[in-house]
Amino acid sequence: MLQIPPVADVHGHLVFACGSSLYAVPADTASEVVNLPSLTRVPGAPQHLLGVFAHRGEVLPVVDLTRLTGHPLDEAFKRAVLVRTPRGAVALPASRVLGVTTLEGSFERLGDTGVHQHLRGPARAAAGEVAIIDTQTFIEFLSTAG
Amino acid sequence: MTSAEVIDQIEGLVLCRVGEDRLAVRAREISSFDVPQPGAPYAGEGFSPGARAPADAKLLRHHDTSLVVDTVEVHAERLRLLAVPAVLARAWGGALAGFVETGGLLWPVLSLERFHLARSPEVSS
Repeated sequence: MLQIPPVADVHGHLVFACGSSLYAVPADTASEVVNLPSLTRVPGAPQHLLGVFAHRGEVLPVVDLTRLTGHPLDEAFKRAVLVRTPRGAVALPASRVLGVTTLEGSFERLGDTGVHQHLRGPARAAAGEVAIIDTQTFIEFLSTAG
Repeated sequence: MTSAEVIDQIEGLVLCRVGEDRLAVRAREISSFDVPQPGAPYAGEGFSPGARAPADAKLLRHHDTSLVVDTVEVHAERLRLLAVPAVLARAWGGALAGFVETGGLLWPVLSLERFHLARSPEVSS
């Protein structure tokens, strides 16, 4: 079997916890960390889309990673990481934001279906194993997910 | 005022409450208000599948399309129309026209025309 050598992270990643899982996004796509206001629900939106809020004249959708990965939590998130790419922007609720760090480990796809196609890893940070979100394809995926 | 600013603005809305949720519809898209009829779609189902309209609900009619909501309030003030985020472009069959902020709240703006097309595949195909 082909062994994939560990890969060192050249660019920094913003690491955050969502429930018991750790996620990371490329630091250059994480525009800010915001306090979440009460959300406006959107009719016909998929279940992983918790709602939207207005932020500096822009409507931002809040995407629940725990529902997307099939491990929904009832946790009321107070903060979110804003991820911005040319394909759009989303807010990802976070239980904790651990900061920007470099990652080591595997950067391979974590699955072939659903959201797991857009998660890479397992990478390692000081706090534990991290799934890296491929932000470009992740937002494209969200745009087509029902 | 530039044309871009005109496109950005929306005037004449009907603000609708639907359970604990809300939506807005362009007033010019509504041809009449009526009493709900059996089979008319309830907007609450878009928020919570299986939701039932209250007894005193209102029906918004636009030609062949109708939609039932709990309460209606006409809002005449001009408002800025905020864009639909890319990840929501397909929500409710692409019937979202944007969002407005008024009274400290954000309201999804529904296009009844697009809603009609989304519910009538034979029309949109």
